[in-house]
Amino acid sequence: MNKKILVADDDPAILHSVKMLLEDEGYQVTTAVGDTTAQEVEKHLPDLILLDIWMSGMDGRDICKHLKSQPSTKLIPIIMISAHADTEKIAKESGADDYVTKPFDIFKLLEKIEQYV
Amino acid sequence: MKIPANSPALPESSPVLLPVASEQGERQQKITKLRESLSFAQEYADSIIGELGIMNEKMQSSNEEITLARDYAEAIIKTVREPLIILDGKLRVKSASKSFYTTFKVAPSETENRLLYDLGNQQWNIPKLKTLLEKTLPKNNTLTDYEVVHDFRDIGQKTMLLNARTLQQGPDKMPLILLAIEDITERKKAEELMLKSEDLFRTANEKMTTLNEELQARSEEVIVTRDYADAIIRTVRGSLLVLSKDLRIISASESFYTTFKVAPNDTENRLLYDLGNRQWNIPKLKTLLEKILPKNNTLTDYEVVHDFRDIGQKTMLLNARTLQQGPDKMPLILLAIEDITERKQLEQQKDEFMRIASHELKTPVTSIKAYAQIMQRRFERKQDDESAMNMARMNAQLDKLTGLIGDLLDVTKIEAGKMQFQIQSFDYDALVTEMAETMQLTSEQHAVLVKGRAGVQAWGDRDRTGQVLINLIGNAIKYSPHSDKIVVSVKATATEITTCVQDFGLGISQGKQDKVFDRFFRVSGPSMESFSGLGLGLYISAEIIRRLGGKIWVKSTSGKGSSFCFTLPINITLADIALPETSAAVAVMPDE
Repeated sequence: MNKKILVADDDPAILHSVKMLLEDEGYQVTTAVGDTTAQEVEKHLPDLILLDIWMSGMDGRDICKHLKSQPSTKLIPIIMISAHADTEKIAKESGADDYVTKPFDIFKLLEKIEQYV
Repeated sequence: MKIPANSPALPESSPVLLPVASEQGERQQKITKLRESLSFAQEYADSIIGELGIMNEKMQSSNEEITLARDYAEAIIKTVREPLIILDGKLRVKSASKSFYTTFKVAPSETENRLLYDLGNQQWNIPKLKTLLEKTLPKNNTLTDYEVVHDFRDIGQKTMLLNARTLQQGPDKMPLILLAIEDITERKKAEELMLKSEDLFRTANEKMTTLNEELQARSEEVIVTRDYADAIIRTVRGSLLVLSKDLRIISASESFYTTFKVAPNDTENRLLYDLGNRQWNIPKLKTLLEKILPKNNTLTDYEVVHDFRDIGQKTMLLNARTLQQGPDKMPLILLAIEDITERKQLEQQKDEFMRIASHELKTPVTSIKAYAQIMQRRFERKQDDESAMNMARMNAQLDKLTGLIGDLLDVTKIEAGKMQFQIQSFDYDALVTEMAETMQLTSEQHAVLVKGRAGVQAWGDRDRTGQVLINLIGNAIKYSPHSDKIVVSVKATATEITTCVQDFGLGISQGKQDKVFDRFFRVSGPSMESFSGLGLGLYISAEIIRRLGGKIWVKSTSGKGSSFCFTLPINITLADIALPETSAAVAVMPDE
């Protein structure tokens, strides 16, 4: 059974390219945009979440905190992705497991994902 | 003084004419003639008698005149303020003026008819006086203003001014000597004093004049200076307070009143803290003015944020200076209060804009990079090596683009003093190799060679150090378009790692070498062709190295190439991170 990864970002090109990349690597990928993220997570219960911090509609920080506070989702690893300069700090504060900065190197991204799934 | 001498002529008997008798007719005639003659004679006698009477009257009046004149002379002698004595030819005192007696403390009884020299225990037996009276006076008949100093037994030393005159005939037809003795002791003293004081006075006066001139010049200067200072206070665009040592407001600039919405009446002579409902009673300001300023005499660029009742929250930049002596010789405090609220807001807006801009730029780059890398991977799997390589090149260009976006953001951060560092332990040699490989992808022409090893774990900011390496290698490639290699050499001591990036390209002329680390500096080629880039890389690199506690420098020969080197301390902790330079302050960005 392929591992399920949920990618949450509000930029369609990023969602598309990351989905393509991860599917190439054999992952099962679902995508979410903005405020539907939490519902999508609860619906699919993925093995890992790639979560953009700065999404219109909802702040990635709040989504992260919410998911980490719910019994059904709190054990799902979350990797925050952002172009934000303070990504590391924000990731820690929000309770995320790891982070990558945009623009990311896909090989580094894949390495990180493999650590958690 | 002249006493009129008179020797009245006594009347003498007139001649009498006698008549001669001859014949009767003749007689009669003669008698008639005689009678006529007699009558003439009678008339003549009468007229003579009349004249005699007139003369007598004249004599009488003349005598009266003499008496009057003598009385007058006596009166003069008695009343003249200066001592005057009248001596006879043998220098016996005939009379003396009242002031002679009082001045020389002698009585008329022991004076008159005595020899001048014998007076008062022979105290007038003065050699110089003797010479004057016995030798000089008989020859000249006058003595004018002879000064004689003598020490009198009873009255002490006196300076006398002698004037004398001989009269060949006095009222008694005897020669007289009039001797005026003026006691000029006091006058002399006064004169001497006067001379002295005049001297003093003159000196003093000269000094006074000089001082006065100086004072005038100074006071003009003071006025000018004070006016100048006042004018400065009134015209400076920023808020300026002039405070006394006890923090009372002496004066304030126009903009203080307008910025903080207060009136001069409610401000001048008040304690700073009491102004406008004690809204200036700010703890941080108090500490600055009462603790820090007295110690340092200056305050430079202290930021104080305060919520004012009337004008809301303001960010103020405080600069202060104590003056030991103000225009009134009292210590003063000059306090400049710059309202930087708006500037701060603009800065924040600018920061926010840069943050959004870089985020927005990075988003498409992220997906392009992802696509490029996916393609690269797919080509690799299909063993289409050429396509895979092209995708890798595309990826390297995207890294350069990412770098430029990062540079813009970094400059903004440096200017705002907000560049942050992540301190961690990392393998320095691995970092150098990784960066060299990354940069190798940007150039086919150059071989990026790494020589030497640090052989140690470095403790610092890996990403920022990598950024410096990328910058230096990128520059080396860019500025050596006709050479074929770049040498990255690494060596370490116990305390620091030294890394040099050497190229064999254009080089930098001596005059420009110290400018290469300046912001926006760009090297132009031999024919002034410019190279791509923002001119920010070395500026940012220098700031990173400085903040990490290292040094950065360049050795270069024009036409032969450059070697950029930097050191990094091996063990750096977060506390060692240098503070951002406050003097680099805040550059105002162009409106665009």
